[in-house]
Amino acid sequence: MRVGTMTSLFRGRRETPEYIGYLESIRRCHKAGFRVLDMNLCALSRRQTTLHQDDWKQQVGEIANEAAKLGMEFVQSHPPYPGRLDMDGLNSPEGQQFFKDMVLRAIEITKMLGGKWCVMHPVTDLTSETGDYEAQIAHNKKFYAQELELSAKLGVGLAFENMCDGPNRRRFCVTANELMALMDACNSEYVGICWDVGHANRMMDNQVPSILRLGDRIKALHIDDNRGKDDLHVLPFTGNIPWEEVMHALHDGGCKADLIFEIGTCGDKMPECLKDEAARLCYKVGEHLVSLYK
Amino acid sequence: MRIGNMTSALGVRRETGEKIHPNEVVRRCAAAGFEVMDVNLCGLHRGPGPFRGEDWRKAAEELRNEAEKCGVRFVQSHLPYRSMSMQCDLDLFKTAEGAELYRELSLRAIEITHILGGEWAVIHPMNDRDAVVGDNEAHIRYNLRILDREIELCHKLNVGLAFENIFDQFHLRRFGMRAMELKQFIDYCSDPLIQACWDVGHGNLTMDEQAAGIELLGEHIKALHIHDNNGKDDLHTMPFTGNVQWEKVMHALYESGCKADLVFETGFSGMPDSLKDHSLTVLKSIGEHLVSLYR
Repeated sequence: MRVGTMTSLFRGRRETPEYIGYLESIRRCHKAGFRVLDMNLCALSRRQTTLHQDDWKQQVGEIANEAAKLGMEFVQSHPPYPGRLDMDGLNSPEGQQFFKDMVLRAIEITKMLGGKWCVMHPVTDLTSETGDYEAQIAHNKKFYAQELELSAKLGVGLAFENMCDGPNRRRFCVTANELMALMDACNSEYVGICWDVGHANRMMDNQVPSILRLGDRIKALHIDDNRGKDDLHVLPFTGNIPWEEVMHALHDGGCKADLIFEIGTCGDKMPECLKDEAARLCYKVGEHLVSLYK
Repeated sequence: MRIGNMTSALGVRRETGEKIHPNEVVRRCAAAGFEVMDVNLCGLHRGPGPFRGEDWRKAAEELRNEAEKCGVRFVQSHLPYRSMSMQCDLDLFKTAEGAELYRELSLRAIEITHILGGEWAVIHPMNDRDAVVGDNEAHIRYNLRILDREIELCHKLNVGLAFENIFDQFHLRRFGMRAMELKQFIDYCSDPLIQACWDVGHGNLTMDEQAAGIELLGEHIKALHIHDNNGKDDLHTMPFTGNVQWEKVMHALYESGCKADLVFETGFSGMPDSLKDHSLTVLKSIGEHLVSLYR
């Protein structure tokens, strides 16, 4: 298990609305100590990166070269996920098509960067009973049909992530059993699971049995902390997750994924002059977590 | 404006659950570059600790000596307060003995503040449950009544009481949430030793623009509690990890004439011991940046 981070560790700026580009982000992640990366493409469908432009392949080539030069490895990615209809432009046929194009592009980008897994958010069919696994699985297979086909063609896996319920609104794939049912129904070596430790802390008193049940099906990790209520995405050991137990369970369960931070510590709230120092602390926290993987 | 931290900053050792002694916290904060300290005595009534034994004065003197040796000084304290949700607090006040013990420890905390050389003891204002909600004068009189011995002792020792802005809990209105309530309290007392503590995190929970509250209190703010949150819960996270508008807050503190030190009320209790010092160093850098915004 290696210590990694999403490229979004450096993305927003407190001082200006401009985003930090991928090249700068990976250089600064490298400076903080990270050598393993997740290409965060969540903002691709919102046109908040430059990779929706026509020269995206050239841009990805530059990112790959920079990472190689620095000795960094992309192991996974986070393609766009369907969120709010208005934000993601999903309330028009054109918007839906653009979103779909960008998700497929994200899978291609992952392949070009050498990543092995794309983390996907399972969707919930709100027109069916949310506990009707069969209906929910069928809905996901239909919704992600093109992605499943492309990922198998390129040899890049899709890792479905554990989700969070809304207030009194159940969502599909919050539990290990639901994730396993979806994975089994896909019946493909290119389908696995991403375990988001922060999401699990919000949804269950004890996530250890779920991690143990999923075991080596967990192909990607999202590492962040919270207090069990809101999705805070804070640095581990600043919330209430029992990290010793979680890391031990990942080890005992046979999970071989890298430890990938999905935190906002150096995001758009942190002043520019403090980001690098904060990122170094994040890396040190990652090293400590890896020392607990035993 | 100097950068300070509380003796509660390191909390417990994650590995053993052992509470980290204030002397050690002072040493580690000094090593990270903090200049001033706040002795956090919030939990004095909640269980054992260095100031609960008969030799509490000696413990306070040792802590003061330790601080002097490290080149830091105590400027303020946090007195015990009655939690509205902690069962141990609710239980304590079920008996007359419990209430008397709390009182004794509250007075002791003021004396500890004095021994350490602190000038201000931060205290939470209380609600008079028998008064009409919103009758501020009744709440003020109630606070003065239940704190009569504390105020007398403060005058004797020349330690000030800084009443802190708090937040509504469980949908119950609490006196002292608004800056104007604290201001009314201060004006009513007209006593240089009864002033305000501004908790920036609490301000973020209760106001869209806390700069107006800070400006209203101005020089009456004698102590600061510095931490961040998401505007919903009292998270006590590091500045710049929540949504407090620090640039505006620091500017308002400067413009209003607040001369208090910048004292963090955020902690690294859950952090493994091997990462606590690094965390303190980052916090100190954050403090330096905040002070650079005090202009």
